Amino acid sequence: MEMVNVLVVVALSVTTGVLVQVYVYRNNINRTVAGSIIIGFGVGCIPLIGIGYWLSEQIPIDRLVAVILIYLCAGYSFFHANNMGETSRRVRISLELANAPEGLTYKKILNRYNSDIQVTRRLARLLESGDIERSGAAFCLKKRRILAMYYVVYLFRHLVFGSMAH
Amino acid sequence: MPTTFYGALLFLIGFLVHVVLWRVRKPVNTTVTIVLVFVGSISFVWLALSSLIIFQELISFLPQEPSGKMLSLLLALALAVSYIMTYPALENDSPTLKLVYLIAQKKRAGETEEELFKSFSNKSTVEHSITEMISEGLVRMEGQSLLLTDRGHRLARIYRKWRAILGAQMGG
Repeated sequence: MEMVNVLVVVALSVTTGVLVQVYVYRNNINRTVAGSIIIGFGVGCIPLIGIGYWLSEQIPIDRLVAVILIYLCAGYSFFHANNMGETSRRVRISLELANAPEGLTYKKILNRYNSDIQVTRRLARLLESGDIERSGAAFCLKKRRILAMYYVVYLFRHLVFGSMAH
Repeated sequence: MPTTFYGALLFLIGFLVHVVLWRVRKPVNTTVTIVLVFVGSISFVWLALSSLIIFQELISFLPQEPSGKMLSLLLALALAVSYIMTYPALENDSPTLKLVYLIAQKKRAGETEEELFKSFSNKSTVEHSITEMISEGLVRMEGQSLLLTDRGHRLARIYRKWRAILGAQMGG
């Protein structure tokens, strides 16, 4: 019974978060994937904290911490899955190929999606999210959060592959 | 914090197995392999510690009730899913991270769009992704054309539907 309660808490919080994200994005309250997910994630915390407080009298605090961590992991994984739809090259190429039942040659794929398009789209997204800013013809860093992610990824890459050349 | 600790410990065991395997020889189909490695090693250790009486003396500090054990398993799997979702950014150069790094390197002077274009080639971005998609069975070659496999169609369908729900345009 305790496990069922715990699973219901996580499922309810995740469902709330997802529904809020869709609402926020569709209604232009926040038209960035990351921003809408953060809002959804925050709202999803409300049932988590509310039911968690109620459950705290029934289950040990240690298990509540585990439930919160599971919710954080679910939110983080959902963010990545969602972000892949926005930024993943594989997903974009898959969608281009899905729109062409007879297939596409490499040249045709490059006409629709190439490295210049990738750079342009990402610069637009980074400008929109306020991570970079324009200074004349140049782009400058405004917030360091993605740079911090770059160094975390760099460290993990070093740990997993042993070197940067993998 | 026995439940949280046990969950983190199970995840770390899976992570260690993954690092050792990747250092010895990186698999070709990394997406499927990494899922199997984490699910397999976490489940195996959890089952062994839960069922073998021989370990009971050694693991008295871990949760003893079935619900605590189950929650630890769920936590370990949730941590594994989070890591697996991050893994593509470790394996491939994320263009967004690379862009931010290149811009940060130039400090206040900044980097122009033309200079950034030069740092990215179709070979390292599009071609590399296609090669990986072929090795992972998402795409196949037919003559000069690239076609989606059934698996590739399933992936495209999921994202097409999700983006339709969001009301978003094609990403990339």
